Amino acid sequence: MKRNKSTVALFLAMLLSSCQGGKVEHPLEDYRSELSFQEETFKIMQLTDIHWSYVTILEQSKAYMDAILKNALSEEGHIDLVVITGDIVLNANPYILKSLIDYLDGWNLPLAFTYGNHEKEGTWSTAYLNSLITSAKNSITRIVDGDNVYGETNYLIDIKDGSNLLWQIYCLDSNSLAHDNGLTYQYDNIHQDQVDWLKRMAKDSEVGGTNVPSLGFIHIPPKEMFAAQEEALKDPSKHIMGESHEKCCATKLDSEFFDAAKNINMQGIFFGHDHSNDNVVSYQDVLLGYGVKSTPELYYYEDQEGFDWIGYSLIELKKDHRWSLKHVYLDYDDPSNVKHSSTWESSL
Amino acid sequence: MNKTTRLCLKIVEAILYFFAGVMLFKSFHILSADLQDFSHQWRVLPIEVGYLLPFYWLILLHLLLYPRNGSKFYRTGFVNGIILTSVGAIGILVTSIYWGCGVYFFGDRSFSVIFPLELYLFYLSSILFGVYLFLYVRKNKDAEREYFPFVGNKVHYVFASILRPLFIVFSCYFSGALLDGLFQNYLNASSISYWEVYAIIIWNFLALGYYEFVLTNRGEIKINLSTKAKKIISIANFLLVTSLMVACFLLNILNPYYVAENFQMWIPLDFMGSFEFFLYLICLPIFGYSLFFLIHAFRQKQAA
Repeated sequence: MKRNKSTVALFLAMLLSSCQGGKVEHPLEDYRSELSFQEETFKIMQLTDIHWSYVTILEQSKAYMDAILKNALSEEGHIDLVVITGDIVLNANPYILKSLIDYLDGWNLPLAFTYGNHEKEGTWSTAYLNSLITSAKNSITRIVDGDNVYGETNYLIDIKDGSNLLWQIYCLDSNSLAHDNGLTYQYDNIHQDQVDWLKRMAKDSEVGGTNVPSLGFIHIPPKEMFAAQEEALKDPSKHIMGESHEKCCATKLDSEFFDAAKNINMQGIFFGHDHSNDNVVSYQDVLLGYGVKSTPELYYYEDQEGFDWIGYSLIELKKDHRWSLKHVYLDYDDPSNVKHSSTWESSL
Repeated sequence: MNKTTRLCLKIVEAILYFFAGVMLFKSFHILSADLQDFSHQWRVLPIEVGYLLPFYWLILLHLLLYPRNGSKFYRTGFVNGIILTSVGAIGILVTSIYWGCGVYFFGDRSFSVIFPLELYLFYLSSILFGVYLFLYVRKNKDAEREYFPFVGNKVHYVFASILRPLFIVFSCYFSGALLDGLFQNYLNASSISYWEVYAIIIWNFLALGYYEFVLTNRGEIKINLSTKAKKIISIANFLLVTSLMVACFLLNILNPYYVAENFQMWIPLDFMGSFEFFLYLICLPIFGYSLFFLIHAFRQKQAA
């Protein structure tokens, strides 16, 4: 009987340990990538919700994204970083996934990925996805396997001018689904261990006791987006740019992420997730903003004139810690038909 | 039908069950990528239908192996022979037009490594199966064969004609999903905490076999078990299934991300309104089936 009990205990222990995984703390350096100012400004292109799937006509989608890149390069002269804020795929197979990564890698621009809520719906393992994302030759994405930080794409990009750290880009995995009431799921949030990691990274990055300005990129909007949008409705000066054409599907779960981000001098948090929303609002001196959906896959906002409000966001960082933001939209049927939002610029 | 022929056909049926499962899984995956507005159906419908054909063959083969009476056997063969041939011919025609127009092209591995050749294979097989069936039932309309009239009350009839096909759809789908995951190596197969889900999926197949060969005990292949043996098996089966089910839900409580992290590829949760249905879909059909086995074993004793 005693032996039976210990066998059961051993089995349960194995079950629980395999359920939790052997998570260990990794050196903070493992989460760090580095890029430099090549010119006077550092330009980040944010793409989001590409959503390649079984039904995507890959060549057509590539042609549209070619147009996006061509437009960005002709307007900006240079792009220093492409941040892709999640949902790069939907239901797809490894071939479709690899085709997309190879295609983006062919741009020969530094690529930073964050995962969305759909990345795990394809017929591949997370390990395969991670290895594909990190092994692309232009990827600066860091994924630390077996660490004690929840999610996958939690990492930091230092942006330096020579040896001077001027800006930081935090990429966090906003995960996918969390329990709600036992019958339905709700969108997940940034977990506490990710927030703790963020604080540790910020502490480790302090220059003279303070943090340089940073931006955050995630997929699912934080809960604060609800309040931020309400505030912007009451006070139009808080509305920075963009429009909202569907209900906000931010996480409804509490997280300390926003407060922690604010405290480490994060000046903007950008995300995707809601394809028909691209509004950016100011909330407690932090910009909270949707990116612009970057392909027509799944659904997007098309106005009455038939113009497709899809494209990319462009963030320009300056060496004096000022920065600017604009949205660029390219019609899917005629990508030469380009519209721009007004450009928002930070003050010193 | 002699015993060897039936045995061969039952082996074919078993192989077809797993193959149809994989194709059913693939077909549903393609459909679920277009659930938003079905705007791509004009292009992917021939693929979805082609991939569903093995499941159709499976059902048809089963119906032909266990005809209820002569007229049903003839009707099943005649009508489905025509349907199979028509679907096959239309499928080949549409696939050829799409290939000719460049909608489909060889080397597009979005669906398979040999795409679109597998569609020709499925549709052509369908035509061959359909024509053979049509001719066979016409030629052998009055031939002598064993029939399997339905035996049981109304509850049993409902179980057999509604719930059982549903169970087969779910079990076949998840068997296909499991096989696809193992072949493509994307499952957390090394982690013991997922074994109970895999065990339930395998158990579905075994339960179907038990129903087929032991419970209904019909046809040329019979496994005769005493009532006592049936009782023991059904109790053991019920306890095992319940334990596996409890383990699944327990793990889901221990790790709230248990399903979301690992089984999203099996059920496109998000597009089903973020429903947390996976564990119910996996567990409840086999639980119901096991309960049925249990009740059946005990009722049999009472009848005796």
